[in-house]
Amino acid sequence: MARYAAGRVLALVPVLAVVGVTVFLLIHLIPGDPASVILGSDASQAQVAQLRTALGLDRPLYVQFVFWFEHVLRGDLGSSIFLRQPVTRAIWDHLGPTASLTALAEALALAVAVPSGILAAWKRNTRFDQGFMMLVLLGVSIPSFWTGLNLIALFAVAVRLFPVAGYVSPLAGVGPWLASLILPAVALGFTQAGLVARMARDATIDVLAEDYIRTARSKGVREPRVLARHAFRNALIPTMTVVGTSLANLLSGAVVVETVFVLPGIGNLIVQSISRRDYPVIEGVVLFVALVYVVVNLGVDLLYAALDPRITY
Amino acid sequence: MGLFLRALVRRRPIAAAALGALAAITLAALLAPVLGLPAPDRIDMAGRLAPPGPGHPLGTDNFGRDILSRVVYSGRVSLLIGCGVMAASTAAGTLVGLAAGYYRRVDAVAMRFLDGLMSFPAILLALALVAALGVGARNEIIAIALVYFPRTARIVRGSTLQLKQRAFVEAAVALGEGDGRILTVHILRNALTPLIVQSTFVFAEAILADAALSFLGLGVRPPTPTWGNMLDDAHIYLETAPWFVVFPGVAIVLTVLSLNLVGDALRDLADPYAVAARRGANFTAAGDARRGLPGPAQE
Repeated sequence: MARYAAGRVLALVPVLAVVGVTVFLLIHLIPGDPASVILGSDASQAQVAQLRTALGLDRPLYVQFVFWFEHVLRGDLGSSIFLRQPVTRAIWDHLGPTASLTALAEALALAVAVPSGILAAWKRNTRFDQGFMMLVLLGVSIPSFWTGLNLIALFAVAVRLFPVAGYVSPLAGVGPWLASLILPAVALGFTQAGLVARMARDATIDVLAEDYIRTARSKGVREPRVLARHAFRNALIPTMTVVGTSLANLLSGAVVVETVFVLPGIGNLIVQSISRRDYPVIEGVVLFVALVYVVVNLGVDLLYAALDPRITY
Repeated sequence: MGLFLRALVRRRPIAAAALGALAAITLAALLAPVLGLPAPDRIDMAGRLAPPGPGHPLGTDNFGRDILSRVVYSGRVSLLIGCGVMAASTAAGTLVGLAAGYYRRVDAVAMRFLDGLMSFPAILLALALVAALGVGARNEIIAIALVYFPRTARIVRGSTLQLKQRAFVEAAVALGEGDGRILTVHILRNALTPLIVQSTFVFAEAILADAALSFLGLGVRPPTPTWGNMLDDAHIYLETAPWFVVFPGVAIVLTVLSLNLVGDALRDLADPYAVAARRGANFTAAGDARRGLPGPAQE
């Protein structure tokens, strides 16, 4: 197990190198001189030259990369041009809403998707299963921000159940915090539920055909218990993998959903930084989110190996 | 093609209907100027935010422009971007996938590169790329294609790895055929089905990505309508004109859902393995993954 874990961590090195180079090169994709693009047409020559030096753009590309990479390794993602604070600080300040939103959306998705996936597998090829598959497909075909807009129209405007937009910190009270997150989390969770539910159904179909299920049934174990104890636990393992890989979808969706609901999270930070041409923040956020994704998937892989004693390395 | 259509109508009627819907959406977008719709940019401030009714079947927007006309014209931009992304990512994915699957030395480098690119959440990378390249349809296509081509490349690589061990490819090598001919005639031709299926999914993803980018103001800019930038306009008027936000979204969902339905049907009709899994035989993708077997090509 330890060897497997070490191997998995080592395999991340080239992946992270590609991630790093891609993020580093982003600013160099800007057509023309990035410093004058960032400052706009009003800036003086001296200001442009100053920013160019501050960003290190006047040095050779490989020197810039080594310099940048050294700082990233030390956890220094540079400074925001607009906010006048370290990028890591800006990310930290915006982390709460995004973490709350994605966690709640994932929890809602799992709560709905896993039981319904198992039920659909149990009733496969019936009307229920067909309807379920159609809903799953609808889930992955709807832009989550549009679901969000419709939810606002229904549950914040027509029926005033929840706030239209805005974020309340959990420190100000758990009730208001949940109320501010429920609509965006449902919007985001619907797509996520589609992805997870399909995997839960596939995995359960697979498990239900196993010998130990037949043994359990022939022993006279009742069907709900077969599903809950024997099928559910074994189907959970492949389902967990999809939770890890679909985190990228969840974070992608969060960027747009945060804009709809005006949640001051990471998504909002990057969208605003784009309009302010604050490239250090854009680079920092993209790098940070990619790192989170890679680390979570490493965690899921290791957990997978630890949870399933049949898997040996 | 005729055979395929007949099989589709008989065995997957919902997917056949989806194909019909796609055809209708495409035709409407192509023929928009001759459909007798009001001009999509004709402003009528006196009739702004009018609810659906005679004259304006889907109502009017915040400038009194006809929403039906704008939804139809938006289809031209959104479908064009979808097609562009599909073409670019299929071309790039095929090249990289063939090279990685066939040449072992390319494989090691290419796969690390693709893994790295796939560690970015799609929309986030597309956003950052557009932020650097600048807005506009061309840059948007480049950005979204860069995000989605690694998936296509992995699928083509998987097919190539399987096919290159088949007897007919070994025979071609023994006969002294060049690599170019082997890759195109023998391998690519036999890998077309998963490639076409993947292309329909990339098309669907591209429409969704375009909607998100335009909604955030980073796609094609107004006054040219797109489904995404219409939603951006509409979302301020949720209280006064709730229908405004409905119709552009319905167009997106209808298009993406149809593409996904057609893609699923294509895959099942071409791949009995998947159909058996759907019927509940004991060899689903999940089971294969658990047993460490190579499953059908999938993400």
